[in-house]
Amino acid sequence: MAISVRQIANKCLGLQGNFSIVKGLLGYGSSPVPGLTSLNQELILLRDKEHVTIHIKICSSTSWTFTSTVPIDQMIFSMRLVFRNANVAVIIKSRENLTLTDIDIDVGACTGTVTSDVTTLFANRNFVGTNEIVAYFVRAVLNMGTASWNGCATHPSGKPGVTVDDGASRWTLVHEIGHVLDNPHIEDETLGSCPSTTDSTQCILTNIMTCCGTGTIPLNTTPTFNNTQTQRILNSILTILCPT
Amino acid sequence: MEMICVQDMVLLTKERVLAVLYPDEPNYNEAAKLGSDALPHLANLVKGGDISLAAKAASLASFIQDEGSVDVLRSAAQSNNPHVRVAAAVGSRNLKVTGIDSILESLLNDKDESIRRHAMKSRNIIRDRSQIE
Repeated sequence: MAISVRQIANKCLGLQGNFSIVKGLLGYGSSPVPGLTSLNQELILLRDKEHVTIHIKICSSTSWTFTSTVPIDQMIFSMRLVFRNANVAVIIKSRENLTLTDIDIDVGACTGTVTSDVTTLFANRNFVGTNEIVAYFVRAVLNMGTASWNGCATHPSGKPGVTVDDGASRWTLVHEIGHVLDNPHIEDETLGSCPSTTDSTQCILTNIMTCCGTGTIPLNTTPTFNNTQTQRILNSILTILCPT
Repeated sequence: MEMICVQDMVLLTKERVLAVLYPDEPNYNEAAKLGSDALPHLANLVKGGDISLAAKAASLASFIQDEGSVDVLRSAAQSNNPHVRVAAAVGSRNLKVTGIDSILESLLNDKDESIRRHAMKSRNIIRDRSQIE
C-alpha cells in the first residue's frame, strides 16, 4: 500500500499545506537528520503502529543560553532508534525556547513527589495536549536540590514529562521517557538493586533502562526495550494510534 | 605484630570512581562510601573536559565528609563551566567541615544570577545549621 507523507502528516500531526519533512514531520531542529534513517520506515510506523507524542522545551535564562554536550537532535534521533525497535513511532509535535528564572531544577528525590521547582517548570505547556509528553532541557537537574543528575522523570499528575540536563548522553532522553512509560531500571528488576556502586560488571548496558549510566552504553550499540518493557509502553495511555 | 590485610590496601582506581558517577541518576549516598580515597580522582574529574562527570564529581565530593572535599569544591567553584559551579554552590550545603565559607564567598559574586542565588541559599542553610548546633 502506498504511503502518502501528506496524509500521515495531516492525520498524525495536523500538518497542512507546505511543511518540512525534517523539521515539521520528524521534529528535528535543523537539517540534515543526525544519522542514517529511513523515512519510509518511520511513516509505516506512524501509519500502522502506536506512537508517543513529545514536545521539546529548551530552557535558558537571561544570563545563560542552553547548550548541551550532545545536540538535542542527536537525542531525538537516538530515541527514535530505540522506540523503532519496539515498533513504536515518535512524534515531536513542538519545539519551543523558554527564558526562565530557574534553569537548575530541584527534582527532590525524583521518586514521584513533585517539588515546587518541578511544578513551576511543568506549568510551561504551550501547544501541549492531553497525554502528550514534554521534555524540558535545563542546565542542571538537582537530586534533593544539591546533587547533579542527568535527568529525572518525576512530573506533576496529568502533566507527563521529563527534565534533562546539559550534560546528558545521547540516550538519557529516551531513558527518562522510558520511566514516564512505567519502566523502572532493568537491574532493579532483574538483580534487585543497581550494581554501579558494587559490581558494575553486572550492568545490563544493552537495555535502555540501565541504571549504570546510559553514557556507558558501548558505541555502535543501540540499546533496546525488552518485551516486558515494550508491553508496558504499549499499555500506557501515552501511546496511541494516529486517528483514522 | 599488627597484621595488615592485603585486600584492605587495594588502591581505589579511577574506574571504580567513574562507575559510581556514570549513572544518569547516581546514588551519592552509596557512592560516598568510597571515602576520601576518591577525592584525588574527583579533583581530576572536576578539572576535566567532561561537564557531566565534572559536575557529578563535585556533587560526590560534597557527600564525603572530609576536609579534602573542600579543595574539590573550591576547584569546582572556579570552573569555567556554570553547571560545575552550580554543583559547587548547591553541594556546599552538604559538607559539614570547615572552609566552606571561602568557597561560597566567591560564588556569591558569580556572574550568573542563579549561581549567586544557590550560593546564598547554601550560606543561609549552613548558618541556620551552625546556630542550631
